[in-house]
Amino acid sequence: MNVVLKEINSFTREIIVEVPWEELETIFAQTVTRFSRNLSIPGFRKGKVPKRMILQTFRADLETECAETALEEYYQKALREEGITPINRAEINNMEFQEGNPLKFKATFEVEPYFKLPNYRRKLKVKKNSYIPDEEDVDNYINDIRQQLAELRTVESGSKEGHLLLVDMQEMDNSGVPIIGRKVEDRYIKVGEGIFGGENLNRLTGLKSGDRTFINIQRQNEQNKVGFELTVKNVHEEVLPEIDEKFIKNLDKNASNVEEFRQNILSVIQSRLDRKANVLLHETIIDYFLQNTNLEVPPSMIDTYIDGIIEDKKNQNGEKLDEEKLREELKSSTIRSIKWYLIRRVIIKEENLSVSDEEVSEKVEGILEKAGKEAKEARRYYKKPSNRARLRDDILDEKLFNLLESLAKVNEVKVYTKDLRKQRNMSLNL
Amino acid sequence: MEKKRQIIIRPIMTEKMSRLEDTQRKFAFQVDSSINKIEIKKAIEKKFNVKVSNVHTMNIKGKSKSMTIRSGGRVIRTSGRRANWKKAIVTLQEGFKIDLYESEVAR
Repeated sequence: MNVVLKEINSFTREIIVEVPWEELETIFAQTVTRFSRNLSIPGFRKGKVPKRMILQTFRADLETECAETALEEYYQKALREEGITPINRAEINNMEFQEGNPLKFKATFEVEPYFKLPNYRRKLKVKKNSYIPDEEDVDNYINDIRQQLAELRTVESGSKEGHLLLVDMQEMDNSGVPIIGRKVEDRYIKVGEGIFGGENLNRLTGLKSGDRTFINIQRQNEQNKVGFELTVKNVHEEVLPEIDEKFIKNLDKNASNVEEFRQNILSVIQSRLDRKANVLLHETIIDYFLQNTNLEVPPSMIDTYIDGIIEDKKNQNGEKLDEEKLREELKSSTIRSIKWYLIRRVIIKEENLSVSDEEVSEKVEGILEKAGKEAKEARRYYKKPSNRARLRDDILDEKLFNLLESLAKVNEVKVYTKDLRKQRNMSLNL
Repeated sequence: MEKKRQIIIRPIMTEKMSRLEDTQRKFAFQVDSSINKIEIKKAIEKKFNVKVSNVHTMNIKGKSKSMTIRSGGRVIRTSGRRANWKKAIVTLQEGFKIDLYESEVAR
């Protein structure tokens, strides 16, 4: 067998294979025998038709069949010989074969692209945020908890801003007639919040149980406002729990006074922000590699990846999808994911990173300890090989990013949460 | 003018004959019923460019066939006969061969 390999671009390869007739004789004979077994011709029993008679009538069919069988075998052989692993189905062209002559064919396929990593050991520079929370974060955190634990008390004297109304909402058309089937019952709305503020605020204040009122709501993607008739069933006010010893004990067993409680919350916020900083750092590192690696993603990889996502979506929703649109939307994020997948693999190989079974077991034990009541369920979850493999991958990622962080020149930037709050308020006002 | 008769009508290709072709150089043909062995020998020698050593002939009687036809609610039984024909088994001299699968044979 003679194989000629050509590199069309960084990910497309073409092989031209020529197999001499001597190597194909057995395959051809087998093809004829197989074919003759089922061939029924008057004057002959099945399988007893002479080979030359079969060939006279079915030569072209048999040659095609033999070529296809041989193609599969010799294509795989050629790939093994050249040490290539294709990532898509090859396109076969220029196939030639006749009994007594060699088989020739050209196969074009895609392989994982070859690329060179940047000199990250020396040149990786990244910015890392170091978030600094303050007392206001703690206050907001505690307020959120108080809101969640708030008790509802019925108000008899009429609604005010901040009160909760239990209402039935009936949608009206332009002429003020109720639209059948467009009624929402027993819904809580907060007076003054979002669409229930602004011009609607006045209409929602001073209401008592049994009252009716009309409000206009601007829906997203619609130009005109929609009118609703509200029937008030009840008016409630939220009574936030006091921050006393009982409140603290319920939420944090380790804290004995307000100071300690606040301190513990601060450390929770800090650890959340640290995690966020780490995620951002990882993204920055990935960006560095994507920007500094000359890597073209084979179209077949993109297609396979997106096909998988679309298939999942179809199974989940059962609805019709605009595939073309979805493909276009997913394309850029897919290219980023595949690029990082390929780069990550090469770095792991070059840095000899690996995760042993013991490390996985250790991690699982750690998770089980933290799991508490759900330990049994967690143990079952991590018995499944696919879940363990995912965990192994996570550990590998952790190792990889730890290594890259240790190699990188990290420029730490202090970020105060008060500045973040200011930015958020500004963007909200815009 | 007398119409030129077709002497060799078709070769007979069966499992048995293909064995005899390979082992005893015997080839079977359906031939015109009125033709004798000498004419058959000449015709084969001319057509295939071979030397014939022996010709055996046999007259095959056509089978009688009967069938039932339904026509307009009536059932008609009908019977008939297939034509009689003549088979010739030609033995070639040593060193000669006819490739029935490759050559154009009169049918």
